[in-house]
Amino acid sequence: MAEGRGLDDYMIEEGLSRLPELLRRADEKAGELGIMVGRVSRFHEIRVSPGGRIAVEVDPETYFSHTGSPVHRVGDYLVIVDPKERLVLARIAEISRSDLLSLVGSHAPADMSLAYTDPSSIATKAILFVEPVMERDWEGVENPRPATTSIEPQSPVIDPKPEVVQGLLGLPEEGILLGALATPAGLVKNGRIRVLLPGKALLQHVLIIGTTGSGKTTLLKNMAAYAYSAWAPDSPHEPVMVFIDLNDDFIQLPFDPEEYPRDDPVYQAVYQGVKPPHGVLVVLPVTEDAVRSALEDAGKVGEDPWCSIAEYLVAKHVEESLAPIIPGIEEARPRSYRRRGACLVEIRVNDKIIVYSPYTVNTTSSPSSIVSRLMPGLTTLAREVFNRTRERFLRKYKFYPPLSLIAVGIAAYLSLRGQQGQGDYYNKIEKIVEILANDFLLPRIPARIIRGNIEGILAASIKEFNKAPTDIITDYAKLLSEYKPSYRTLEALYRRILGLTDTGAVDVLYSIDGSRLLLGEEPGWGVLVETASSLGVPIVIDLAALRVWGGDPGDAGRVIAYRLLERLKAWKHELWARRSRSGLAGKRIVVVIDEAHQFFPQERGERDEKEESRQVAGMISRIARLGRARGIGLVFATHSPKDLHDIIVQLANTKIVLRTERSQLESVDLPGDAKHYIPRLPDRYMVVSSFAFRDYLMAATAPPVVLHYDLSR
Amino acid sequence: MRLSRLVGLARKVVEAQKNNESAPQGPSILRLDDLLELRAPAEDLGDVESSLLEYYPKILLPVTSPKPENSQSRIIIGVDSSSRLVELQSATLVVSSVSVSSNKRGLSWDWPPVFNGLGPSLDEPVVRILPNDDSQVEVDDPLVTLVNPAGYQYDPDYNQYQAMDEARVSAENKALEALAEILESKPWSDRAVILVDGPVYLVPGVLGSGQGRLEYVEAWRRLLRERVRIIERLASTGARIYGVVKRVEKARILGRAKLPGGYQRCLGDTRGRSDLSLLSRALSARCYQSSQRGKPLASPPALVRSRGGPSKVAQYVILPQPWHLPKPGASVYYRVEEPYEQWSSSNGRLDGYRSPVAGVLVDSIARGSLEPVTIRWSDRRARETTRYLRSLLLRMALREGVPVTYGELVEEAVEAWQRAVA
Repeated sequence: MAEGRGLDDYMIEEGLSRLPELLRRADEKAGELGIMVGRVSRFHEIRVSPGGRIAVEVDPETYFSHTGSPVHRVGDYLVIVDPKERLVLARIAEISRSDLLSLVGSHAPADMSLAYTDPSSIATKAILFVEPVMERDWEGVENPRPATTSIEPQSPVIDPKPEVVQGLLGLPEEGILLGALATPAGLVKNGRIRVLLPGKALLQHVLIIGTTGSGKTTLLKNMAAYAYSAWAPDSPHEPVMVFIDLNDDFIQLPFDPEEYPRDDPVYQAVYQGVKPPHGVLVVLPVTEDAVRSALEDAGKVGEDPWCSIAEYLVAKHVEESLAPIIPGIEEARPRSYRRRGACLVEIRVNDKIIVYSPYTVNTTSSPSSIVSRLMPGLTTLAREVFNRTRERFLRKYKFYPPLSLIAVGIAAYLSLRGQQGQGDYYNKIEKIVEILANDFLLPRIPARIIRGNIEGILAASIKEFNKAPTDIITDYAKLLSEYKPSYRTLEALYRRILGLTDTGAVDVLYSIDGSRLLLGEEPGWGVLVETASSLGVPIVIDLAALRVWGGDPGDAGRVIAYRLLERLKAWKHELWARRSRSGLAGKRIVVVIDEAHQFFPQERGERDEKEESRQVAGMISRIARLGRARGIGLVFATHSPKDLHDIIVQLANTKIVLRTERSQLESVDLPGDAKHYIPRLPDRYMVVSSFAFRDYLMAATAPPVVLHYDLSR
Repeated sequence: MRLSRLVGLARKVVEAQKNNESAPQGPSILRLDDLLELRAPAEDLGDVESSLLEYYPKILLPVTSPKPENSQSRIIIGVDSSSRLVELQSATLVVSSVSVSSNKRGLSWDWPPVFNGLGPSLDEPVVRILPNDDSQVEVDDPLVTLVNPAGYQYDPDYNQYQAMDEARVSAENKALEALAEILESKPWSDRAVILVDGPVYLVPGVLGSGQGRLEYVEAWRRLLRERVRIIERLASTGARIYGVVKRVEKARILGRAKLPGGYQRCLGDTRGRSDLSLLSRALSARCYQSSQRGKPLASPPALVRSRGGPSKVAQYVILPQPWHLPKPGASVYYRVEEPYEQWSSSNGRLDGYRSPVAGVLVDSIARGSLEPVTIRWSDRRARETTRYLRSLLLRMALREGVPVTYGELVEEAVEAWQRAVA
């Protein structure tokens, strides 16, 4: 039976003679860009709308012939090649399969005795319902944009090549590797599509959420390894990554894993060639107890006392923290030196370099407004008293007094409260100061140094100020008497200052021979960043070391972390203000704060606690906002977002969520279907929601490519 | 065939009506024959003799269904047709289609091919025009006919249901012939089982009695001769063919056969009773040996001879509904037929199972269904095809301003509403 001559008359009449050619070209383009798996359905209305779905039919031969094909997996990606020269990236939202019995509406018989398997009955079409996500033109001239163009029935649908998916998703081509593109069902294109988080996203701050064991620390370690793999000697590295480490996770960064995960598909696909950094700069918090132990055990101290102490402490840290996991490291001899005035201690093991920077908080170099921020929760009146008296002291005596001496001064003043104006008031103050100083100073000096020379020690000057502690305390107490602050205000201030000094890491005073007192050193960010950058290594603030000195990293760790963050902001701002031409001015720094909820807790509890949380949040908010302009990026990681202050969730413009309980995600803005999968994600799989990507996506990182022992247990 | 071809066809048909100035204007035309001749069911009436070929202890016998392996080793091909009316004021149009489906070997095609372009092209019209007056309408298209299968022109009195039956049987014949041509070149043809929806040979009352309009008698005669010839051609390939009849309400095959006294003791007086009535009684009175719950029950095969037609073997099978359903429904009744030559040459067996009933069980129970799957599949597609054709013609008529009957408008409105709420 003849069908007509050439093109159908009907189509010519209606001016639609181009239609066959359009479809043919679409098929041709489909073949170039991937493997054809089906067509947009002819039997469903094809409606493009926000949240709408398109029906795609896949014939049974295609469905069963491609194992591992995306047509079997919800969440995977297909591309619709629309004849109007549009490519539409679509995510599979639903897959419908029906046995032939169901399709034809058959009823089940009563005879259950037969096994009803009939292979021919499942040779039916699969219907996929896909959500259009992004679109662009065929030739890739345009940037991808949200899918809004109508879609024609019969349009070919393809399993696209990796570069097509990458192009349509608009995935960045530079940045830090998060892993390989994935879906809830597994890796896309066997993991061949890299998901890179661009630098600008890091500078707009990131929140990483994941329950214990979900792969959060692995992700952070792999990011560091990737970031530093490209470093070449004599090439300053950027960005500089800084890890605030409560659990000794990140001091392991330079070391190879026990076994590289060569069989892991993500590793094979995107992590080949990624190696651990060849070293690390460890900021090692030092407490008074640590210093005293060092002086008691070390014996003779070299010409540079602080560096001598540092060498001892480094050796102890290596013995306690690294030797159990790094064979041979205990043989390495620490070597100290000074760089731009800061003491650094270096050890080399195999081809790795570990540089230590011993660290104490030295408030005597900071303005009062900065120091008072170390005491969140301080009342306004107390802050005012603190700032004014301290600044007055500076004007009068040309230096800021150590906090511990301020505390003793307050105690002295309080004990004589109400007795001012009486003749022997000042004598009494001096007497009390002497008693207090006795109690205060002597515990800080090793016994072998005291050796009965108490008076001499009490009269010893602090080298930096050339003044004895007793004098400083008395001078401060006298200043207080001039201001006459209320008892309650002073008591509040006293409590807060004690909170700082009790950490043992603030204004550390020590003596090596009893003749004079010395203050622990606080290296500046300039030397830390310069050193780390020139060596091409990350910086680790090893708060876990506080345990080695017998302390609790909780309070001390928080103080050190807040201090470091404030000083980082101040340093960057200063460079900017001075229009510094040094290479450091433009250097981007990414600070990773693990267990972030411990540093920035949710506002809960009594009024004081809430106020404290609020002030801490205010601090990080200021740092974050300024940080964007000054090249500081913050990465917060937590397993407990409900315990994390809300401001952090708001500040972070990128959210990376690994396996987490649904109840923890209430305050986190994520698409509904993503939240559905998150509680059941396999290890190391994550949902990423960021302004840097045009749509949320899923990725999977490899098993650790650096050493990964859980030393917290 | 592109759909545009069918659109062009619809346009031609409608334009021919549009240009028919003498077409009656007004409400629906009532055809005389529709009043005078009650539509004869596609059943055996008139001069039909039946006799049992086998005797079971009781009138119903629990039968073992073929196993799934039997269904999987066979190529089961279901053939079904469909016809619908489109009532214009100037003419009644009969649209028809036929579909072929198989469980394997990829046989899945329709005529006309609305859903896919697969399958052979049949020399078979899809639109029959029954004019509502004596004016002659010419439509130059091989898919349109104005004559019945015997070549007689349709007239205003032609029974539209007769025309629908003719259209379906004619389309089935063409499909079976095309199948025969395909099977003749296939090495697996002897494993094919062809199931036709309806009697394997249709011998309507008018053919058996010879009374009725000459046009109808000649049309059925021609269609029957075609069917016989085609079945012989199929038989030469080794394929087996069965007819599956679902509408058994008015049949009297068992009712005409001489039943043994033992059956009558259980059934009671069988004189003048329809087959369905006898079977229902047999089921309710448990006129069968006790068996496993849910097993199919079959009546003895009966030889059916009709005057003017070939002989066939007919057997009833009852498939009980699932007992676990909240409202246990009526059981499902089929009559399965096969050509007598085929039954006797196979000793009444298909793969060792009782035939002809095995012919339907191999495509139903053995595949986990109460009804033959391939027939159901073809039935769905054939009906969708005629629904599409009907809708196309109706819309074209409405667009071109060709008057349609009031009933047609109402029916279209109802269907549109059903689609909207679906």
